[in-house]
Amino acid sequence: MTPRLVVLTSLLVSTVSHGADVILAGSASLDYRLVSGAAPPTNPSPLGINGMTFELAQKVVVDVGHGVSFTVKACGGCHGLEVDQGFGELHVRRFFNVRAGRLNVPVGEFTVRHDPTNFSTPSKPLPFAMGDMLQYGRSAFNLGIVPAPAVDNGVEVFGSLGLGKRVSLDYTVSLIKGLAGDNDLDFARSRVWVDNNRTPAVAARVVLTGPDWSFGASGTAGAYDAKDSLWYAIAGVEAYARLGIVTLRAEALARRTDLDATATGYPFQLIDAWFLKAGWYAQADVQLHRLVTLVLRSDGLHRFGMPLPDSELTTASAGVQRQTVAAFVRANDFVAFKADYELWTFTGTTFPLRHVGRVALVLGY
Amino acid sequence: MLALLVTLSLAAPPSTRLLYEQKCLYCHSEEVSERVRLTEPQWRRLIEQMRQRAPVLITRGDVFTLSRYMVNGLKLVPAQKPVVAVTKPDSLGADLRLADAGVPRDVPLPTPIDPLPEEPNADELALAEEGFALMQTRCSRCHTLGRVYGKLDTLERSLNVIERMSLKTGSGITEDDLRVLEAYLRSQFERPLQSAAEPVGRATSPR
Repeated sequence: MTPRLVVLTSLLVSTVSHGADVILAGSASLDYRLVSGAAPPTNPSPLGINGMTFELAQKVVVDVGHGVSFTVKACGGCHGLEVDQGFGELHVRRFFNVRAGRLNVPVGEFTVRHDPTNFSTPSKPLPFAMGDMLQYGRSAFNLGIVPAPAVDNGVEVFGSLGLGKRVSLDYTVSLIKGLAGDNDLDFARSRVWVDNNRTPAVAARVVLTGPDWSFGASGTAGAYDAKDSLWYAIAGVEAYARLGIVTLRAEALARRTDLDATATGYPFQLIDAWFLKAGWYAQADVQLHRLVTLVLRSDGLHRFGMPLPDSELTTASAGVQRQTVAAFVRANDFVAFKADYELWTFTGTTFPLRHVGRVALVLGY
Repeated sequence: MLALLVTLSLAAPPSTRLLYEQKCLYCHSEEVSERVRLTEPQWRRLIEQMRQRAPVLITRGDVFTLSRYMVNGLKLVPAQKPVVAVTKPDSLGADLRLADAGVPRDVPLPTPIDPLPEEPNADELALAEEGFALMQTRCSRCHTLGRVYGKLDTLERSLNVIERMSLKTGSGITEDDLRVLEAYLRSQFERPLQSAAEPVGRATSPR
């Protein structure tokens, strides 16, 4: 990690010394969750306190003129220090621009808002969840569909096509390294900078936007094992609307992932060597006061297909649903509090119902 | 319940009180801002100075609407005799301190030699209203507005950021929106006002 920090620092110092326009932004989030019942599932904690996590991030955008800018965002949390974003961007025309480097994979709308200062609940929606979800381990649901932030190396073209005065069609098409793993994805390994195989992946997102609404679709596909023989494909749709004090967001994603037919230990005879994961969320943010937002969210994740060898899932159809009521309270421009209650129910598994309460302190500038 | 909230919020007309909450109470508490007693010209000067500190948040038209609301709505005017400034203001945003509500001493009045701001014309008011509303709805799709107001502190930076953001997939900022936002930012940061109908170039320095 030290060489990366040196590079980041050098970039910042050199650009400041050259008089380029430098924009800084950062965030820090401290989150605690309490899970009901006996033997509650644990999650990783960088503080050594079960249920407590923190994330911090620092972003530098350097605008050097002529449509060229550089962005570097480093973040730290359960996975240590990571480079969430690190790319150069060239604006050519509104309909054609280029970005290359360490990118956020353009799958889903939540990916754009994955920083804790940019979403109103203490937890991420299940399709994008990482270690903050219950039963997140490989022996259970193995995280969401595409845990956010999905970070990868690559190049992408993006732009916006005007369709009248108030409507536009935005797009992003990326060529990236792709996700990695053996017999299902391994998201920690997927963030390694060097590809584990010889097949690049593709990703794309297209969004039709109006004044207070948008609809979009996105997807990505590639080989994920070292032999280029196992594939994954993710597709999703998204919707956004603002009606007065109410903001509505909804997304649905699905991932088909090839299973290794040569592996042993499956609980049943393997007939279809793949499984399907589907996830969704629908959320309403109601701004009750200029400082207070009430959030209602329903989300879920379902897995169809052969459980992995040694999995705690014992059926070919298992799922989790969550209902959330949350409050987002802004103390001032830089400080906000989040709190929620979540009801977790499981189907097709032996996991018991859980009540979860979360509180989070979020600092951002 | 959700439908009722939506209906009520869509039907509710924008009130001056709401404007006061959005603009003044964004940074100050009611306790601080409503302990000040000034005449209307003094309020105008004071709010204009606040506007220059937060040009993306407070429009030129807001200066007049808010100063009238302070005087006629909230009645925040001197009780008996004209207020006398004891200290020259050096930090108006942070130092709105009064000894007590009825008899203000230590009021950080705007510098008397500051010219009274000119009232914007109808076109300027319309542009400001449209630009501010656009800024709120588009930027808040992904960001808290505090981040937006905090970052857009110079014209050049604001124009660059808005253009870069407009190209983010799903930002909802169309080319027409961009034109209005650029005209709005120029009108807030500099005079004279540039018409929203005219195309506005980038502010990138030729380097």
